[in-house]
Amino acid sequence: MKMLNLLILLSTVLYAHPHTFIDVYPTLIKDKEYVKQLDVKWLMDEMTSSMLVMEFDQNGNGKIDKSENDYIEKNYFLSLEDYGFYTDLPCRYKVSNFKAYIVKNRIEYDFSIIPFKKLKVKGFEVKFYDEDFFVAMQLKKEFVTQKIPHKVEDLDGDWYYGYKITYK
Amino acid sequence: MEYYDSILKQLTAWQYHLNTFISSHIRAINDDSSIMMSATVLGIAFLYGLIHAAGPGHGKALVGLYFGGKENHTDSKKDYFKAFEMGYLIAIIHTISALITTFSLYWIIKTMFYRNFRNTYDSIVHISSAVIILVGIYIIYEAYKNKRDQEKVDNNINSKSKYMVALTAGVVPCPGVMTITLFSIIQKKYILGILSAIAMSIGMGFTISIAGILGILFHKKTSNFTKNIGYILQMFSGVIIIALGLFLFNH
Repeated sequence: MKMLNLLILLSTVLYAHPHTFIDVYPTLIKDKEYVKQLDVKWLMDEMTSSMLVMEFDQNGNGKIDKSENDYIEKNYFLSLEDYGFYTDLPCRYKVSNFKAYIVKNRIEYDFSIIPFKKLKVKGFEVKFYDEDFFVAMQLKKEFVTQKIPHKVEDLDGDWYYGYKITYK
Repeated sequence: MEYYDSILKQLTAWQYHLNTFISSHIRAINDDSSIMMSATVLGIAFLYGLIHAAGPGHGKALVGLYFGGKENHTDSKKDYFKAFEMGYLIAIIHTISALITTFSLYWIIKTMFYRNFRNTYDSIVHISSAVIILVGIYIIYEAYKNKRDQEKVDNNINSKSKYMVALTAGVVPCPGVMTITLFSIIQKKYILGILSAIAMSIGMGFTISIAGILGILFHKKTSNFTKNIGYILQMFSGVIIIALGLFLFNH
């Protein structure tokens, strides 16, 4: 029976496995006791970054210029809306202030998430995951440097793995 | 399920560290340190493949079900050899597919690599899932034919379906192998890129073979129970494989 369970378990998770790793650095911006926005920094793994740099840094000057930034936002970043920007909030939201950088051979994306609803900081919960598990989001405790009380927890999906931050 | 979650978490964490280790070492290789560093990279690539394939994907379920659904596993050594043969057949196809895709995309469409890679990957997944469905139908047909003809079931694994399973599971190029290869190409370490892909595939082949062995063990453990229901078990395997194909296709 154990073997049967194992086979069924394997069959449910046939498809997905991570090939890109993104370190997530969230920073909460408050407006009194409400959430104003969540500033997010993504730092991609070096291998994925090396592929992206080939296309992103068109003039090869080792940095992302304004026109290159616009190109990345339009052609790459905004298409991630289909995946909810790998970020799950309690309500709908928009993203803005997108900026891309090359930092020590790694691609960095900075952007702000602005919720459509007025949400209280206390109990505000954000989940970071890719349902397809093509991308593994990494949120380590040391990635959250601000002093607002919070808790970082693992997020167990059926066939993906992610993280959750809850502000207190 | 909690046990599975912690395994998935650990596998992801290991891959994260190995990915970082390989990229930093490939970048750091220079003429003075190349032999030791290259050997280290290849060793780590093997380990990366071993762990990478232990996570979801790479046709383990297909191989496990294939061997689990086969009847009459009588000779353990031969059976386990067949599982390794299948595992490495998949790994070889996986590697060749990844190398061809990576080199073709890199040199033909040097720019826009990543986007095209995602599109290509999606197309190959769709084709592969259609073949998986055909394998499932074939297994059901084989079971039905054996039942109808009341023939003794062939002890040997049917080579035609064996190659179909290997091709189906292996034809989708592994993005992990592609990433390492491409990263090496970008660093102008072409030979190391190919060798890393091979080392990673040797690791993956081992893990995929274990899935085949688990399928055989499952069949053996339940052989008394399944002696009289081999037909049903084979049909069930076929149905599950078709379901996997449909799931992949719609994913």
